[in-house]
Amino acid sequence: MSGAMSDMTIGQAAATGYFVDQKKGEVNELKQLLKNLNIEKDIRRKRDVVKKVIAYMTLGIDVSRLFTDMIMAIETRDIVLKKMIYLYLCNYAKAEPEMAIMCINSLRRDCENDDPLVRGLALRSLCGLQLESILEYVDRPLQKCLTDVSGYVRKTAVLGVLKIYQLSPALVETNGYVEQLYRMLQDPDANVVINVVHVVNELKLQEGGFEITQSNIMMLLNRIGEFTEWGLNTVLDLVARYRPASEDEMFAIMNLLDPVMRTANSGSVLATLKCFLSLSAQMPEMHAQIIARAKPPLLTQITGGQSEVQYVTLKHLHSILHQPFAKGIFDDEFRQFFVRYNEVPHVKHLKVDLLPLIANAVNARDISMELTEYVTDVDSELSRRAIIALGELAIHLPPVSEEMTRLILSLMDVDNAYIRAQSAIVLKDVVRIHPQLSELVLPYVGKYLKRMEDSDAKAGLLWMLGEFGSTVLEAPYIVEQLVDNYDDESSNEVKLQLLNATMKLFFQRPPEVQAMLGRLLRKAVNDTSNQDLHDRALLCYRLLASNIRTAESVFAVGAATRGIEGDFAEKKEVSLKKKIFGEFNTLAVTFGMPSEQFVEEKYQLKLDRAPLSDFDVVVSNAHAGFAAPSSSSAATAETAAAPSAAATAVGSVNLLDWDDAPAPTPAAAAPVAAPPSLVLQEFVADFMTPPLFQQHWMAWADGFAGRLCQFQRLPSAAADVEAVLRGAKVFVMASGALPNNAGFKFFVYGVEHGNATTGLFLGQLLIASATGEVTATVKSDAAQQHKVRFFLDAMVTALAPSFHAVP
Amino acid sequence: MISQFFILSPRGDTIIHKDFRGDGFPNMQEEFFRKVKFWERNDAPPVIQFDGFTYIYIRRSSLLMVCTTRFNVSPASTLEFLNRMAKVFKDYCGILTEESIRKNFVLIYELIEEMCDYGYPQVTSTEMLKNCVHNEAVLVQAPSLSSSLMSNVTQNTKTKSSSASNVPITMKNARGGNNKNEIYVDIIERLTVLFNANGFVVNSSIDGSINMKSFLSGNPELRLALNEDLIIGKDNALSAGRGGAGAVVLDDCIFHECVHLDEFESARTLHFLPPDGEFAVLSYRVTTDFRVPFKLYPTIEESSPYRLEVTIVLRAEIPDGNYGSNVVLRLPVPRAAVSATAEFAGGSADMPGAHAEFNAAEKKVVWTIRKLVGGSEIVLKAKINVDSPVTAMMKKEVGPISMSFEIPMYNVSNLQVRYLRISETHKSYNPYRWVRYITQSSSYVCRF
Repeated sequence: MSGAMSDMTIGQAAATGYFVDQKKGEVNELKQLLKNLNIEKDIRRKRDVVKKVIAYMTLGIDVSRLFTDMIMAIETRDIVLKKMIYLYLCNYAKAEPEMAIMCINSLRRDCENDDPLVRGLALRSLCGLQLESILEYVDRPLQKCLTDVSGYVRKTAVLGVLKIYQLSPALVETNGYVEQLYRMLQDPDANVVINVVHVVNELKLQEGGFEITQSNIMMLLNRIGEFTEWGLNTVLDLVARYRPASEDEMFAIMNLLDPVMRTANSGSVLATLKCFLSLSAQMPEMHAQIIARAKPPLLTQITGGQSEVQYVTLKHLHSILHQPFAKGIFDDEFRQFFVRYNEVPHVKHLKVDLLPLIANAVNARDISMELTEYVTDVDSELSRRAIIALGELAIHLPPVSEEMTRLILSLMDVDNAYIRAQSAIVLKDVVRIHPQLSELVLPYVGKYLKRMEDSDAKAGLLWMLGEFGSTVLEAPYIVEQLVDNYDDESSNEVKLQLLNATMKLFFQRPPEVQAMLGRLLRKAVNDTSNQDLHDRALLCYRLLASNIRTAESVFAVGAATRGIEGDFAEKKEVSLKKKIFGEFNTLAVTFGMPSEQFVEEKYQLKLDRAPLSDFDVVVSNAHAGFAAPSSSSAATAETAAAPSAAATAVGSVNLLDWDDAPAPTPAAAAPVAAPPSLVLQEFVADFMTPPLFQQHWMAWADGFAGRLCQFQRLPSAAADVEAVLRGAKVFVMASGALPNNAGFKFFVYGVEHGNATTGLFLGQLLIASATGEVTATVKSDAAQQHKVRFFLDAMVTALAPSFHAVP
Repeated sequence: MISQFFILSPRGDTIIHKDFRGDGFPNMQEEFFRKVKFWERNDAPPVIQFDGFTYIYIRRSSLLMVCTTRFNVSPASTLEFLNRMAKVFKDYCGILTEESIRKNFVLIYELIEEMCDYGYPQVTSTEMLKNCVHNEAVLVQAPSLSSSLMSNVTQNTKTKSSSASNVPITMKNARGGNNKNEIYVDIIERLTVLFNANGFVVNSSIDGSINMKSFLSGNPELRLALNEDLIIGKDNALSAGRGGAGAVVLDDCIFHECVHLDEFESARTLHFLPPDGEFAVLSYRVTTDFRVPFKLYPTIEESSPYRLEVTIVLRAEIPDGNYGSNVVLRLPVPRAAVSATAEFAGGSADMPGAHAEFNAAEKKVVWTIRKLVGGSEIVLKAKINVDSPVTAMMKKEVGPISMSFEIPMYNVSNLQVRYLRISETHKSYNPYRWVRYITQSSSYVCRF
């Protein structure tokens, strides 16, 4: 602190530069006053002198010269005076370690004072000096205070342990403090208990924090009414990490916590919501109900809270609404997310971003009318976001796509450059997803392009022209103008897109385009201003020169949208969204990135799993020793990470917006080499063990994941399915019924005959009793991925007769 | 797990600085202030992060109150903690201003020491803190902006100035020597209303709260009874068949932690031991239809190619006995506007305290009416001269009208305090209950 304080001096001193000397004089004067302090009888005047010292300290004036005199004054009965002197001590002890030793005895003596407030204060200061040299003097008073009669002293002592730990972890570890802290969980003072949790959480940060056991959690929950709201929030954080032993226990905890949803503290409301979701992690069907329960308090925080709380709650609601189970729950309250004119801009912006997430076919018109109002707002950022939101409606709500597209088209006539630019960009995105809507837009593209200044918008319009050039009569002539004005164009983005569009148009309308393409390529190849441009032009040229067919396959219309199923790659970051949702009620949600990206490793709580990370894992315990909750969730964490990596890889390819569909791979090669079918081998005892299964399951990528078939007759017990699969030489490793009779779950494997080393197939089957739908995940060695479908076939063929399976 | 706490003045000076964990770096306050001040579009969110620290802050009375942390904390919880600190400072200093903090800095440090140890929140309730806080507050007068406003309210024993409760809680015995038992109760409702050009309400909601500040000696238990026909939750209103028309329906309400709810379901009665200082007994939200206090009917006309005329009919739909005070209407005009004249038309021209002007810098016409009596109707006019012929786009730039006001002794939701009973039976115990109903505008907007 002293560092920060003394550095404040710079700013302050500059401002008061004129008075610096005078201040120095005043410090001397203070020194004199302090010297006379002991003969001063009037307590108020004594206080005033010390108060002046503290005032200077706050202003950042260095008063460390007064250290000796301040220590002299420490022997006082007046607690106000004492507090101020201690404040001073803690501030300057680091700067004056030698001198600080001098006050140790007074502090230690005060740790034995009759008044618990003085004892607490003295211990707090003693531990807060943060001097390694005094450690040996601290241990004894600290031990003593941990067993003090006063709760105030004990709670201070508990935090004292943490302060000492920062100076010397060894001292804390060897002196058995941690064990003592755990014993203090039974302390009659609730504040002591909470501080114990804080301290243990931080001491054991790298080992998962405070130990979550049933008895610890129950003990804390039983005293839930005694804690302050901050204590409550701390306990809720622990409960979110707890796995209830049974369904009854889960409901008991949830009922106990339900009243917290009615409290005014937004932190408690979010923490309770997190608890509910994580306690019921194994019962995904409850999640929608839980979100509905949290809806009124969340809305109250958003509409009535302080702007800061509004902001954070809206961020969390965003995260919630990206979860599939939250869909539709907030739709009827869409008016609550209309912006108010006196709200701070960042709250307005979040609300606008959120509106498309709660839009449906019914409320879309109301929402779009409101968004249109924002488009002409003086806040250009609000306007921009409103247009993007309109685009989202067009993209994600097919029933209103056309209407929304027309609405955005009408914005192209607004007399405002950034509105037109943003609308053009959004239109491009809409048309990319819904090519059929291009008819609405295309007639105007040429007109728009002429007066567009913004380079992103221009590039977007050019893309449309290239993609749908065959239906725009004047497309080549529009492009020609741009080609001829190539040298006036300053944006590389536009030039790249011009190159693409002209190439695409060339294959659609060769006679009209050929000449201008030649001119463009020459200009671009000779354009030394940008390497990308030069390279791409050269590539185009060489492709055309070597093989026109290959060139066409690369630049064919639709190449960009092919493989994108109704959504943009960037929106597909499901696993990232999930990961962030796993860190619900933390900064990760506010910043929209996982905590490891902004919290240094030593401040990260190391958990086996984030509380909400294993939402879709349903664990069966049919076979003893398999799939203990913690380890199996580790497996899903692994698999969850894998697709995210894949997603980013895909994204990075698209980043260039380089419309090259992957070169047609010799697709035939692999399948041809593969045998036409898969022969599985008979059951071999002890061949497969749960650890081995898990090891492969974690290591291998999905060969298949999705719907397998639908049963029209449901199995009455897991054993039925097991028997049938066994007939097909597919063996069940573990199986179990899902909670609430939701269905069955199986972990299965099969081994290719004569290939016990790499021919292993692992699978997970889920049979939903409500629909009869069977979903499967199958994994295998990377070299065997092409045989996964045979393994699936084998299972379906076996199951079909017994359960009337239909595809 | 807060690392540092500081309070900065609007100019960025450090007023209070506390480093809980000794891990800060020099000049971090200045760094923070610079980041916030020069944020994109001057719109820094309340949670920002740089150089390994996360800064979570609130703005109160133009002061910045900041917590820093290096851990992945709950931002909501930290913000609530900051809010609580602001409340405690206000309770102890009477008001929360730069001056009151500066004059009471030792007291503030003492409070911080007790509220937070090594970055972990400790005791934060005003009355519990009294046990361990010894400094006395230095009284600072609030800037008396409203003094002229209050002067026309007759001062008698039944009314009190609105700042009467802005007194440090520790000084309640020192006030003029007469140790009164007093309790202040405010029922405040903030309205969000959106009208379309036809005067039709498109969207409306109420954010309300019952705030209390108790100076009762002996801290007796209180009983607060609300409307018996109060319904919580819109779904419940439907299932109750809306039988009692006029029943008060709240979408949701949340309670202060001290409130016991065991009699709430049956008798709509809350009982609690009031904590010291100001607190919200309950906060609620209403989105069911309610009677809006003011209605607006705007029209826009193109009287010549270079002139737009806006006429707004404003009708006060509140009872005769009530009035809207400090009513202000703001009308944004097109950027092309070069001049404008604003006036009150017809009989409303000679209203006392009525004032209209064109703010050329902000391109806004502003009408101010100090007192607008219930049942009255006035007409506001603006003639806007533009520098180029009027276009459709230009017309779109007119509006929306935003209106701000305060209506004393009136609330729109009909939520009422049936009684406030103080369970202290001693004869000499003669408490004063000051109950106020206030309706304020939050976002009161009319579009063209």
